[in-house]
Amino acid sequence: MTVYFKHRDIVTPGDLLARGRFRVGANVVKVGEDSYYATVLGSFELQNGVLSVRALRGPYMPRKGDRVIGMVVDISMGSWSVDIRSPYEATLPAGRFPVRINPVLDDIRKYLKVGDYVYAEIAEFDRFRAPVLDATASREFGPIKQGVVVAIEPTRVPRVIGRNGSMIKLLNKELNANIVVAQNGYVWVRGNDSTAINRAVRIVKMIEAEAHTQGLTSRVEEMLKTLKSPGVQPSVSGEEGNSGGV
Amino acid sequence: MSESVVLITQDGVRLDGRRIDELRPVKMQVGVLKNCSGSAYIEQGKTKILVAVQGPREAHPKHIALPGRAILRTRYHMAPFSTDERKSPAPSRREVELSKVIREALEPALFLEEYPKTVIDVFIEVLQADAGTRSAGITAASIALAEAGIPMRDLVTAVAVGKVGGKVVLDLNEAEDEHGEADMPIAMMPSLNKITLLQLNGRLTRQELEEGVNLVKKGIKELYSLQKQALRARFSGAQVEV
Repeated sequence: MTVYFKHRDIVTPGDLLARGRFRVGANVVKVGEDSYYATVLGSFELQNGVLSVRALRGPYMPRKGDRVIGMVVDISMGSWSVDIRSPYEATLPAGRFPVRINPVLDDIRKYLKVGDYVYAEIAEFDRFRAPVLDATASREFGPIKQGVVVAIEPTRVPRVIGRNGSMIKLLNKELNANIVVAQNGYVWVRGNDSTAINRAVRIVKMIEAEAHTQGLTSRVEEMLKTLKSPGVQPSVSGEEGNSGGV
Repeated sequence: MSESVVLITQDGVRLDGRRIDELRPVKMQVGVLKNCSGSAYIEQGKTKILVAVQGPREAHPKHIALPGRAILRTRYHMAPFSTDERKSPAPSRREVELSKVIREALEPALFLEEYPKTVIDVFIEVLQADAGTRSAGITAASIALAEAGIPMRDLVTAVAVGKVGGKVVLDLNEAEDEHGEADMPIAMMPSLNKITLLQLNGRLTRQELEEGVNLVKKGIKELYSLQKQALRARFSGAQVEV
């Protein structure tokens, strides 16, 4: 039983992580009898005999039950095609929209146009079927009509949410904003004014950039303090590419 | 083989001052482009290559998609200004073939079955060519794929050996490639000790081939650690776009 890396070390594909008897977690393969290799670039973790690597970057793979934000890219008779930043395009059937629509009599364009963002849950997805969205399960679901949607790296989502939502609770409380982090890496920020929204976006971007480092929460608290002190003009650079106002 | 060119001296010093088992100076960087899933830039001597990875994304047209795995598409392309004489930007016979062998060198390393019905694109742009572009392209492509977060068994690392002035030498440059007796690019998954590409242009004896493979293994070991360094640097400091 030899482990070649420390907890949170950055490993690359092909790194021999350990030899011996372990259980295989995410992004790890067992080769031969007792050798375990990393398959992605990420940070190494060993917990209760389970070897895993937390990816630093990577595509979003849809999972049933995930709450996601997507952008409408196409409209057909009874459904919307939604880009959820994954390799697979999702559909939102009109029947799963929070408002009752009769697609035969009603033009569904009235509810969601191409380019609109929508917050929904993944109702179905497997190897054979493209993801199907459902926007009826929660009152929060539906078209996004206010605030700002910012894109972050999907692999950084857990860090922005924090353990049991601790980070997001902290931000919502301190920033006087309402931040929703979707599993696919879209962050929906609502606030009373643009200053509050800008502050929130900046902090979320900072957490994204430093997601793999230690002592993040204390740095976030520090940043919250400096942002709140008078005389500081927070600004968000306009060329953040992926951010789009709604 | 022209007699007027002395490619290697009696005591084993090459045109650019290297010994027979020395790589050219190598520089690698990852995450250099913004609008793609992963990217890498490599300089190996005067060879300069930029690699961009897109995907996994939905395959279009739909009928090319495979039900059980992703398809890997590679495009090896030389910029018109990459050579002494302007190269037509249209894909040549050589580029089409290299795209294929590079794809086949990378494919064994990828867990393509994790993304069924999708396509992963690898664009290899040779900005400046000075021999060894296919191997440098493979080396850079594999770190660009790793940066994109695509699961892999191992990185793929490649370098060529050749026979120059009767001696087996590592990592040929343009002059050695052109006037030498043989050129043998090899790609490997270094941790797994598996060869994914071996080509040979010219003639080598059995002994020379074995000597060459051993030399390549030494070079690949050095390149492999540079690849890992480049990947680690991506997440531990400031990033500069080229």
